[in-house]
Amino acid sequence: MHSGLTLAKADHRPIYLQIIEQVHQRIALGDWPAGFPLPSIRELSAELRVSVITVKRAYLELEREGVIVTRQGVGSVVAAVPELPDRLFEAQLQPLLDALAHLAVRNQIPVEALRARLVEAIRRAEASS
Amino acid sequence: MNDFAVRLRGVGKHYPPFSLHDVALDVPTGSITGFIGANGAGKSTTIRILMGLVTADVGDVEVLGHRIPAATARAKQDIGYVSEDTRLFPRASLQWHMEFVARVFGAWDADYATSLLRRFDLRAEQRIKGMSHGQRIKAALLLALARRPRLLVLDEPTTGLDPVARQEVIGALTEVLRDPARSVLFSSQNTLDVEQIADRVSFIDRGRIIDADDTAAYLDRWRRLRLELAVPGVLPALPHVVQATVHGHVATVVTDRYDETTVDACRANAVAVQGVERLTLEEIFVTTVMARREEVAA
Amino acid sequence: MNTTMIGHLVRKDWYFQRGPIAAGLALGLLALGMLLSSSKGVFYLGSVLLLTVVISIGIFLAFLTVVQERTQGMLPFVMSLPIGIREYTAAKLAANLLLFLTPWLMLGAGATSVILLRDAVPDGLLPYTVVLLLHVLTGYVITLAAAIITGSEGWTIGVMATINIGLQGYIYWSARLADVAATISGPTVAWVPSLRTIAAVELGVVALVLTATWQWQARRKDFL
Repeated sequence: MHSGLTLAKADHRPIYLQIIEQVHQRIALGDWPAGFPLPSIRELSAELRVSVITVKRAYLELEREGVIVTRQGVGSVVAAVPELPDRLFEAQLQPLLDALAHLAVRNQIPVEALRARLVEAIRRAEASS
Repeated sequence: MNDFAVRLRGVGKHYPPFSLHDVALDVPTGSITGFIGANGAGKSTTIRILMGLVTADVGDVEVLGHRIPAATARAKQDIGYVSEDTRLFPRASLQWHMEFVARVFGAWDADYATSLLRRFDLRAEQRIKGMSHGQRIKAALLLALARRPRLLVLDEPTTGLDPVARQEVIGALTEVLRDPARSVLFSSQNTLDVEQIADRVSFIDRGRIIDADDTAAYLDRWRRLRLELAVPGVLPALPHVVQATVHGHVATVVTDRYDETTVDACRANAVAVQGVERLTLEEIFVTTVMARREEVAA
Repeated sequence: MNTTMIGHLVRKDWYFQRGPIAAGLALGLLALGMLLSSSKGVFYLGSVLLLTVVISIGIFLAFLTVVQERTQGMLPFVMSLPIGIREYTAAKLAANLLLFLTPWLMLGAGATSVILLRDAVPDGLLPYTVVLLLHVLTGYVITLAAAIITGSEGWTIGVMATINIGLQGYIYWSARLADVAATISGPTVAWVPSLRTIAAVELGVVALVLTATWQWQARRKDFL
């Protein structure tokens, strides 16, 4: 079963994080709905050409997040949790907001200036999509 | 099925002026173990010992449950071995070699061999003499892979290969692991390959194993910390520092035991942490070797 | 010992040396034909040719199958096969001895029949000839042993050259031993004491060298 995940070599983040991120993305987009079967750890390891231990790590983390459910002998499937895509979006949003806030505080950027820049950025994003 | 495809304990070998000391090496069944070391560090000698080509002076060697060198011939029935110095018969074709290997071992997957011929871009009718260096390596690997042996022992399998061939070989190796009863041990100077596909990695330097762990665990516990010192030029003693450089207020520290307490330890010593970076396996290896050499010199 | 594996290895060596083997066979048969000639000159040439074939092709093949395989680096591949040093050694000994003994026996049979059947050739020559052939066998076995044990071009060539130089001397010396000289041109087949002793020594050396080779290989700690 071909997962269609791809890894970026030039990306210095650990591979298991890239796998987690891409699985999140597919779930958030609805491509991998609740109950969707993930490839087995060994299958994904062979497909992506990465070590079994890396894939295992990603799957363990995804299970810890409650995003996937693993059953002995059956494999892993996407968890049947409603609003999962929203939960993932929230998980992405919070760290970004925190990072932005820290940056602003460190560089002493006033809230109004930050708001203005945010509005500007949203405008640019809407224009390009 | 054994838990370990390869187990070396306390292996020593003396070849003046070089020696192997107290070498331990484990390859758990169903895993890929990478073996990293500089030229002349002892990778090839260790591999020859586990293949029974060279007898250790001391120590225990067990491969696929067989004692080596007593049961070497039986062990080799299930091992695919390709080393950097493997040479095939120049006047024969790859086809001849394929038939010979199939006859001698009795195990051969013809469909898989055909698929490998295509992926490795090789022609079976071609004579070994007429092949380039890279093609010969791929041919030798094909002969080992198509038997689907329980253990693959490869000494520098990607050295000398172009990027495309390297990817195909890496792909073929990770495919081997679809079967949890099969294992791979490969030595490499190319730490990228090891970082990518190895479950476990062992470092060897000057005849000694200097570290061995799960690849992920390694990459998790090593960090480079960028620090700002309170007093210029003075770096307080921090735990588990492998390497440290100090210039004025700025210091860079490499640790091999990073966890939540590391940053706390820095703060406790009035040292500000500007950044925490992961290291590549190559950086970890080089740092470890350099640190050891300084220790020995000191 | 895995005789199936030994068979694979022997056939592999014969396959790769099929050129020289075929050439040797052809020359050997030609030489045998020449031995049948009534012309003394042709007979002499035939015997020299056959002796040359036996000695040189045998040694050449020992060199190619043992030394060259090692110097060309095929040993890691060969030793990746499910064999131990015993199978390797047995295969090299078997492949080479069989290749040597075939023309050697042909030579022996040919020489014997010529000596006994042709009136022009004195029967007294037979024991001397048989012992000479044993001497050639011994020289070959020593060279083969050197090739297997040392795997070195230099050593093997050195041993081979030493034996070759000794051959002329041996031929001269053995023909002039008192009891040999007395009967060598005579009409009877006389197994004189000197020849019996030499024959025993040659056979003893062959057995000793083969055993020593086997033991040495069995005790080797480093094969590559």
